[in-house]
Amino acid sequence: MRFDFAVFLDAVERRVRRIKGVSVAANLLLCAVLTALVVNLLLRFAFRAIPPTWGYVAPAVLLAALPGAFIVGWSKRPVAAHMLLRLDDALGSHARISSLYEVVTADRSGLFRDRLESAVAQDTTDWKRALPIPKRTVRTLSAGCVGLLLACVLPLIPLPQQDAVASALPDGSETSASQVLPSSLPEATDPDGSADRDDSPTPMEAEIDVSPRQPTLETSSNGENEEVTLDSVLDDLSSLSEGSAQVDAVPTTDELRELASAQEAARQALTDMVDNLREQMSQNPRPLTQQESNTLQDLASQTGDPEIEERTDDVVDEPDPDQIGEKLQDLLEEADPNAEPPESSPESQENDGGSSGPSETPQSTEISGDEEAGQRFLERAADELQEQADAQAEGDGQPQSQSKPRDDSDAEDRQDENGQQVQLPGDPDDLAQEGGSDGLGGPTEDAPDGEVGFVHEEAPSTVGEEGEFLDEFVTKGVPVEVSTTSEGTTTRIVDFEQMASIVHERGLPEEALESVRRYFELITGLEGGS
Amino acid sequence: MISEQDFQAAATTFERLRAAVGEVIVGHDDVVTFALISLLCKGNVLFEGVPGLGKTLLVRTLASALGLDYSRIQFTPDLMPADIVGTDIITEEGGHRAFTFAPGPVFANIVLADEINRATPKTQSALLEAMEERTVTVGSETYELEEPYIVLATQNPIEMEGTYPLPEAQVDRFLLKAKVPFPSLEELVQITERNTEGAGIQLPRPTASASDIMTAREIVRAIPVAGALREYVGRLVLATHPESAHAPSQVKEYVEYGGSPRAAIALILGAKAHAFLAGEVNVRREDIQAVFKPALTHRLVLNFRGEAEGISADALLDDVWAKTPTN
Repeated sequence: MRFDFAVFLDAVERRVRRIKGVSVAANLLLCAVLTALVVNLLLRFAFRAIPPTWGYVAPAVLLAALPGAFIVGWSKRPVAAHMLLRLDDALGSHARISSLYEVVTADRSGLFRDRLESAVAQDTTDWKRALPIPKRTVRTLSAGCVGLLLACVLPLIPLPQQDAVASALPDGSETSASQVLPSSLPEATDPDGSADRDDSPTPMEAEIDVSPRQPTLETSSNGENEEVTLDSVLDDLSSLSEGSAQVDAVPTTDELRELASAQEAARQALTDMVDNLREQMSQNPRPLTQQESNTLQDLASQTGDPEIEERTDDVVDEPDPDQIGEKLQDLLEEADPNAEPPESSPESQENDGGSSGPSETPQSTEISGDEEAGQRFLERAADELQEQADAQAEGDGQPQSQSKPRDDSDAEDRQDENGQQVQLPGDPDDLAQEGGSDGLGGPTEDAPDGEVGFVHEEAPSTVGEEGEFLDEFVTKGVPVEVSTTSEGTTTRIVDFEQMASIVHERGLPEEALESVRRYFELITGLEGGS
Repeated sequence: MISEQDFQAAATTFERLRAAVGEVIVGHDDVVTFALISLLCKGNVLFEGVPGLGKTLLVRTLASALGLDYSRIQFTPDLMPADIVGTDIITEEGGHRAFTFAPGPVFANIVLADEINRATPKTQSALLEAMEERTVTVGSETYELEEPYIVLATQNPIEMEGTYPLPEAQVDRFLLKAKVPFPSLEELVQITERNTEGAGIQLPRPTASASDIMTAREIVRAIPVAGALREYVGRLVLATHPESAHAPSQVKEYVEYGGSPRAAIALILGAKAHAFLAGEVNVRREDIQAVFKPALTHRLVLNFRGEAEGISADALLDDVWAKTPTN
């Protein structure tokens, strides 16, 4: 069979063009894969807001262009002279093929064409091995395929950080949020929303305890004992919520503050109730009623503190009336670490109260001016408290009003129910404006802003013969409800929760806190009770 | 059209010619090859070597084997151009006196210009027309030289005192420049044996005719060269130019002028002749490599720095060959 150089040349050219097309396509594939990997990484780490599926767009477009790239490479015709000389070099045919191409192109015939054709026919029996796919193209193609596989699998692999966030969050995001909140949140009771708050850490922020009760935060902060503020916690939660839908349920700042306020109110109500019960138990040991037990457990659960709930259960489950007082004391210490230790006995309280003469404290001077009347008042207040507890036990099963978290609306509801004019601590300026003029002293008006002074002055009051409790003793804004029955008996009930809230809210100095607290105790007949 | 018989006959003739020269000249195969290449390419060749290496003997042997006219010109400083090309002399015939041209030694088929660099440039330039145009002009008359015509010149690289280096224009007329090496020990023993025993050296009988050479020249010119190899030759020549972007750093540093277009022609023709002598019907890269340095070494003009540092043109050409892309 005669060697047909034209057919041979056509076959060589087709193969070279195919290889060129594959090479161009392989390069584009590698570029596409690299782009896909970069885009995927950016979407996973830099632009999390964009759905990861968008990472497929760029590589998809480039992959769709692969056939076009092949066509571009294929359509570029090689220079025959160079292509054939490369084939000569690869086959070791000493430029016979390219020389024959020159002879054929010049349309020469004769000796040289005949001899070259016969030689080329022998040289090119296995010419395809001389034109393999270049190793570089093979490597590029392999890398492109591997990269393409990686780019496809990469979006399916979850981020370790997302796993960590998901595992760090407990089942209920609200519970998690409550755990990071402090046990006391004074500004939660501020209806103005802490308008005067500055950038410096508030006492609440400084008191945030992250070590024992917030293992989640400890983990996230690598175990370092960092100062954690509410803002930082909220910022962390906000940043987490950007990358995970699970964190979208994290409450907002207002919700957290509201929750903290409710917990604090519950804690305070529990403290007051326990204090009251402990006082009663010290005088008349008795088992807790079902209503009291339910109320205690309800308040304990509202605090969100498992330790308090455990102590509450201990109190409720205690059958021995003599031991209940101790359990109540434990619970009180847990609920209110600043709680005073119990007095030795009511007698000693009376002795203490009797020994405290006018020379010791100005406040007691006014009260102890008529000890008999004070004693009667104390007895009445204790009876009224007991009656109120019994009445509520017979009611609709709702917790006592004292244990409810207090806000303005609650205070108004309570006012409507009792029909009494009671000023609740909705306005923080009440005590500052009127407390001093009532004779108990309070923050001085000429005190510099931000500082609270306390001036002792005698209240101009008159104590009657019967020792009646004068309303003037009750400062406006103090949470004391005064009611007079048809028989002329006056009943006063102190809202211990609001009382503590007022004391705390006013930011009174520590030395004044005790005096104020004692004042409230005295006017309600609960001296030494808490 | 060249037939297979013509090609075979020419190839056989030159094989015989080589064999005949080989019977006289010991070694120097490359030198003989370059001489034959020059003969086949209608060129001239410059041999460079110390005296006593057999250059003159080679030329005489070649002329004898070819059965062509041979002349030898010993160049000396007082040699005049007329001594080479000839002159008009007054002759008296039948009572009439007339100028008659007396041809010089250039009028031969093979001219040996021995120690050509000892003559003055004026005398050297007398050869230019003969070497390139194959004509000689004396007065107002121009005489054509008979083909085949070839000038084989020699020069001594050692005795430079009192010599006149060939001008670039004349050097460029030489197709190739071949260095005649000193013979090896075996060759030297054989040379002494041939020259000291028996009847001495006997020049060979003619084994080829002028027509055989002319036919071979036609065949050589018909040998095809791949286009990519022509480009390769062009890149090689351009790479010898310091201003070329493809020139190696050494060329840029030490070369003043590179190869001329005659160099490219010499490369292609020399490669064709080399392929013919090898029995091939196409030019290979090996053929180009074989004549690369002989075709370019005398065309490379070094600059002052290259001369001062004793840079060899062959070393520069090796660099060019190694660094020029083949395709």
